[in-house]
Amino acid sequence: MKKFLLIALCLAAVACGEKNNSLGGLTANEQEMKKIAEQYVPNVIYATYGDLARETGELYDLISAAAEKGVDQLTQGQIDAICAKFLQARQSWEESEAFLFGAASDFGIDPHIDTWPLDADGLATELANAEKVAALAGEDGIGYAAAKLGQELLGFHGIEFVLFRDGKNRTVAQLKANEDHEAFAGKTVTGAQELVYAAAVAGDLRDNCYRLCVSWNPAAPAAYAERCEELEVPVSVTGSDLTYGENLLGAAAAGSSYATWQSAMSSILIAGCSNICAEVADVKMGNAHSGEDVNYIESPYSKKSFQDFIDNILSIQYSLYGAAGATSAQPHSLMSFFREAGYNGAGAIQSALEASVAALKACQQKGAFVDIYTDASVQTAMDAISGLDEELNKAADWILRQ
Amino acid sequence: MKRSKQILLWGSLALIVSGCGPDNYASRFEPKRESDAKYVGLAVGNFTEDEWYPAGRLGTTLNVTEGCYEDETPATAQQGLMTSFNLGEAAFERNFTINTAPFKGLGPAYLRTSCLDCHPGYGHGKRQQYYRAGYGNGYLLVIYHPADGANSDDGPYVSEVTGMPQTKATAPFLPPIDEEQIMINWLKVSEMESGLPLVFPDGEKYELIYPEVTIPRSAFNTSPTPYETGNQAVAFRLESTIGIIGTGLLDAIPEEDIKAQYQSEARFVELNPSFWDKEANDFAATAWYSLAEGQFADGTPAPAGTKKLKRFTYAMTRASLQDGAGANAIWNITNVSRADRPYLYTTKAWAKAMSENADVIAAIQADPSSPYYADGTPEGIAEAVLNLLDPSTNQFDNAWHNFSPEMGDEQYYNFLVWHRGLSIPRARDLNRGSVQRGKEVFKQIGCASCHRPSWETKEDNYWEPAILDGKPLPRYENQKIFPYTDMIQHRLYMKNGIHGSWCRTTPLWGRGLSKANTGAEDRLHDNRARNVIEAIMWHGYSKKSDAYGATEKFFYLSKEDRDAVVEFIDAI
Repeated sequence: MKKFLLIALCLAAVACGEKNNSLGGLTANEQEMKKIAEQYVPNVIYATYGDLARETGELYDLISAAAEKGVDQLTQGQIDAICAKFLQARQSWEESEAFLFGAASDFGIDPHIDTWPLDADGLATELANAEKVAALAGEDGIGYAAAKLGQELLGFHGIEFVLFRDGKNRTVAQLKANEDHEAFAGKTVTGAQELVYAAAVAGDLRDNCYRLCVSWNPAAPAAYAERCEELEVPVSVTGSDLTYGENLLGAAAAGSSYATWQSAMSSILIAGCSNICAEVADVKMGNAHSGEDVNYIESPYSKKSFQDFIDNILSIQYSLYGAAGATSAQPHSLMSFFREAGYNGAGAIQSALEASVAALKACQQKGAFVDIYTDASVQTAMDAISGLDEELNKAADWILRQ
Repeated sequence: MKRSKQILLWGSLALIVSGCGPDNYASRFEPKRESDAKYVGLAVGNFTEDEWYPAGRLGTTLNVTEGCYEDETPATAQQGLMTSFNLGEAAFERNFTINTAPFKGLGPAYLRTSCLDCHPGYGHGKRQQYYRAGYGNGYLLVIYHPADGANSDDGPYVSEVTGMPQTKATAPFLPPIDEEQIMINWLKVSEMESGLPLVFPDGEKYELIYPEVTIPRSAFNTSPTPYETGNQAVAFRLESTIGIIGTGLLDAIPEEDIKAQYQSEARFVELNPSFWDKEANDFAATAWYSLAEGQFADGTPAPAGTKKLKRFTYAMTRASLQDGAGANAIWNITNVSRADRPYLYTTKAWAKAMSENADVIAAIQADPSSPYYADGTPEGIAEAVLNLLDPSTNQFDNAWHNFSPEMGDEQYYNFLVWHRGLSIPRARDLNRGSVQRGKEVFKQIGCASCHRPSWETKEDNYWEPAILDGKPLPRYENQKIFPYTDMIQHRLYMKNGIHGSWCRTTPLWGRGLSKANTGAEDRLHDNRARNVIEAIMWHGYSKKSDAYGATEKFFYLSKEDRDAVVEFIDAI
């Protein structure tokens, strides 16, 4: 009992000691954390998912128009425009990976739209089957793709297979001919059939990105919400009617899954930023480099892996700076808080962030990841990103104690 | 007296906190909660400093945010096994494919393409309204001939589909079960068999639901179907994936300590005779599992047939984690062969049905590159299909077509490093008075009799199969751990209960973070409980339940104490 009493007295002392600095029960630091969330959630998460939803919608429109028109009418300009739109949407997705916690994980959207490897043999079998292609081309082709293809044939990497090969946009001639990938040997699959598949998968990708947007942002465009209603998919935190954005913004309140503002900040830093940091250094790069196995490379068709990694680190930058696309810390951002609250690791985070981006750009100048994955520069980049990860964890530990 | 003092103290504290100023958030907000970070590693209230680390210092991650179930144990990093851990993690998370490296060999019949489908967020699976083999559905179908010819929980598995029935197949084969014909209905309990009301004495209500599954004869692509064999009655149950985090630590609990637990409990409760011989006061012969050839962590050879005590899966069918549910699943869920697993996970009834299916034969005949093509005649193809899909045919050495192992030995080693290297997140909020009170009540009402709080791992001289060639796995020596399980099976006698009636006491550690990691917090073997209260009350559905007495006491607790128990369970 003595121990319990001591703790209770300590808590009482802390609570009353903080009285002078508190407003609405929050300490000055907690009030600032609340402002950080109010800056971060709309300007990083809503903004990025808004871009992603719009761009994947445009990607679907472009591919489905091309598929409908037929390969005979297809121009190289059209293919290039589709490829550019794909890369734009891909960039927004990679820039969202510092906040995969929440809807992207809970609803399985991340593995649904971005797992690998693509099952090339399974795709060949699927597209060599006229009935299945007809289902993909049908009125509910998107629904068929979503329900029947399996995530090994869905998402970015399935579309990437149709649009890119060996790091280049595919040509009109390639799409007018039959597919010649080794997994398609002995099967006759036309470019037209591939476009039908890509359109259905792009529709499913769009739907999932709409869902991400709606699940976070209570003010998401009505058309996105209507599509989610049509698909009858949950768009709120389990057991509540809050969006994920409302849940985070309501930290420390009844009904939020974040019991304290410190835990909310810790989630942004650990479940968000640190998680993707480790994923890039140890898994996306590390598994191929350390395991010395080229098969562990995620985007083999477009050869854009380094760009993906840079966008992942930029996703961390935007989260720390408080706005998508930000090149410096915004007021009421995590990075500003680190500096203003006197965190002695603030400079180290900034340096590690810059070093990570620089190291990845150095890799990118040497070639595609699939071509240089054993190069020493890859280890240098992995080390830099691991260094950033370490700083993020230190910062999270510090913020939990504020 | 002790309790009232605590309540007084906690009440006083609440008053002190709430007296510190007006709350801008008015009634939407509960009294402000303090971050627990500054207490981690300190003895607080009735918790020791060790209890912040449920899996010991070597097995606990300090991360408690979303995604923390994915973390490696400190031991994994300290032993320099992170490269293997990360490669093994990829095998768990990514898709297996027909023939695209690095994860190839899917099929011909399979349950899922990815482990993550059944373990969303590295958790326990989510309650499903219908059965589709995809992300989040951690259900395995349990199909058996009910002993009573109706709907008993007991009875032998049917032999026409695999023990973990498959609803997927690679072309041109048909899945053993057409999943679109599987119906899951969730029914409400209108009355507890035990007589406990569905309303607590203070007026708070709770609701219990349970699944009823039906699969018609037409869904089975087997010859014969289960409706034509055994007693011709077929019953169905759902079993969601069991927890995977921290299982390396459970593997490290010494057998002699588990035996002492059996001896201790056998004095008060009837234990499964398949595991415990009450008269001999010792394990039954069937409690032991015969291992394949391997070795122990200290290098001692373990010849084939070495015995180890069964401790893994709900039914406790497996002894070593390295030959446990996960080690088995990486082979049979995807049907990916490896050097030490040269056989398919299929049935003769499915092989026969496929060999007799005209569409299957025609599709193979149209594809001379098919391994089932044989001499190209319908008869030759049928014979190749019948034999190659047979579970007793060695896929690497037979008369029809010799396949190569689909998963490499090194990949399998990496997978086992990852599996044995998964951590348990640290405890949360042990500084809170309500959590401390919950711990006290949990023990007082008898929950801790089966949900045994702690164990010690001692030397952790784990077994590993010969295919690993003696390479090291994460090891957890001399750790005090807090899994909250007795490692023994009990019976709860729930409506449409678990197949076989006996179920190992589920470890409670880390489960309070399920919602953060997976978006769901469903509990019990088929996810019928939507929250902790429902899970507890299912323990008292029948007066025959081993946990009825504890549940009855829980039922009569004040709301404050019920909430404290829930907070405690969510904290550990």
